[in-house]
Amino acid sequence: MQYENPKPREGINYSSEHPLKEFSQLLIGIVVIIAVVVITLNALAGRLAFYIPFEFERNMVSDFEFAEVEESLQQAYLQELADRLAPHMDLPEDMKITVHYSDSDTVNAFATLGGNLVFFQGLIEQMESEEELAAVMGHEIAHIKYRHPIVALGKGVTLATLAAFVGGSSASGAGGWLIGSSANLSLLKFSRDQESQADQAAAAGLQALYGHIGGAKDLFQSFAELEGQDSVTNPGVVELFRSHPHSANRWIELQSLADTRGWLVDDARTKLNFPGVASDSEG
Amino acid sequence: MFELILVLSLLALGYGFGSYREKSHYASIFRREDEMRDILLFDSRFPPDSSRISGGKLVHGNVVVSVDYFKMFVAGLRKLVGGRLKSYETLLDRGRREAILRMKAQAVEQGANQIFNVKFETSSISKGAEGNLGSIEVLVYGSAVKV
Repeated sequence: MQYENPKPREGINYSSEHPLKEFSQLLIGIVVIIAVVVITLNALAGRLAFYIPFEFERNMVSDFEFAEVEESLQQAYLQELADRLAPHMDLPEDMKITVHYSDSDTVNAFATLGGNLVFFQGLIEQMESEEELAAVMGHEIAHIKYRHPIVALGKGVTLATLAAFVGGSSASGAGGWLIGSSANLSLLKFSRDQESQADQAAAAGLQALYGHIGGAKDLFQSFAELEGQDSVTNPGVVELFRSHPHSANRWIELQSLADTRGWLVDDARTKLNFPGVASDSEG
Repeated sequence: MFELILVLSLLALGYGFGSYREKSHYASIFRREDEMRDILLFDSRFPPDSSRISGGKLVHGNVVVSVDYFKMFVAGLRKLVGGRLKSYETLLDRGRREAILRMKAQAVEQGANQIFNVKFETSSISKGAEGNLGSIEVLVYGSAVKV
């Protein structure tokens, strides 16, 4: 019997298609699908998180260390200011604002889950008057009022879960990681729309408490000056502005709002009598 | 940002080297297959006519080959939607054909021209190792005889 070994045609057991073709088809298709899913889930999560009762949100973070109030003269001062300002800001009845004080020289203040606000010494040192500090306070209270932290968390957890799902790793750790440390809580980012919403509510609060929005004017003026500073010599300052719209624009927006509502832009300021700051400058 | 740059450069590196290696490997496979076309392989356990054969020695060819980062990335995307894993097909094709060629080379050295009872074994040597590139081992063996 005669045997032979013919040469079969190439490309039966493998594809001679250019590998970049499959790569680009898959990449574009999957990126589009993921983008659609992410945008849909993000919108849904943001919308639904708004309906989580505030009490649930407070209970959720009550076990974390950052939610414990460390009492001090400074904290008491800030809490008192918040308690005076909050009634003028139309908060829902069950909403309680808790202010925390940190002696770090970071120029920042932030609002986070459970109605907790954190003010840093570095920011307070930049403030000239009580009205100016109240402008920051009003802004942060407004974030709480509109539930921005829980909305941001809702979006974050949804995306982290999705990422874990697609990535194939355990999804259970994702939510815990996001709310697990207070460092992450300060990283909750708000959108520019949310920032200007907070600005407007803060101005309304200032107008109701002081009869003018001069505090906001001072605030955006000193912020505009700080924005001009070098990012190398003053990195903490730059951090504050990264997530916020340009200060000059924020003031222009508020000014036109003040015009339409008939708010007073300038009036007498109360000198800031913040405990600790005065003695520091004397010594 | 750093991670993105790392992934992109690994992709470019994988694609560049991978395509070059694959192209030159196929060229070498085609050439050697033609050279050793007269060595015949059979999967039957005994030669059809055992009276005319002489010799009879175990010959084997063994190949370990790994995918590149680009192939792995494409396969990773493909796994999300399913379908033909084209990027791995060439890898296995090359592995099996190279293993046959190495076995034939052993047979040639022993003056044989037919190999009986040819068997393949393919195994993944990176199985279960998280984050590892996929590597396979292909072993082919048989009994080489002179007819």
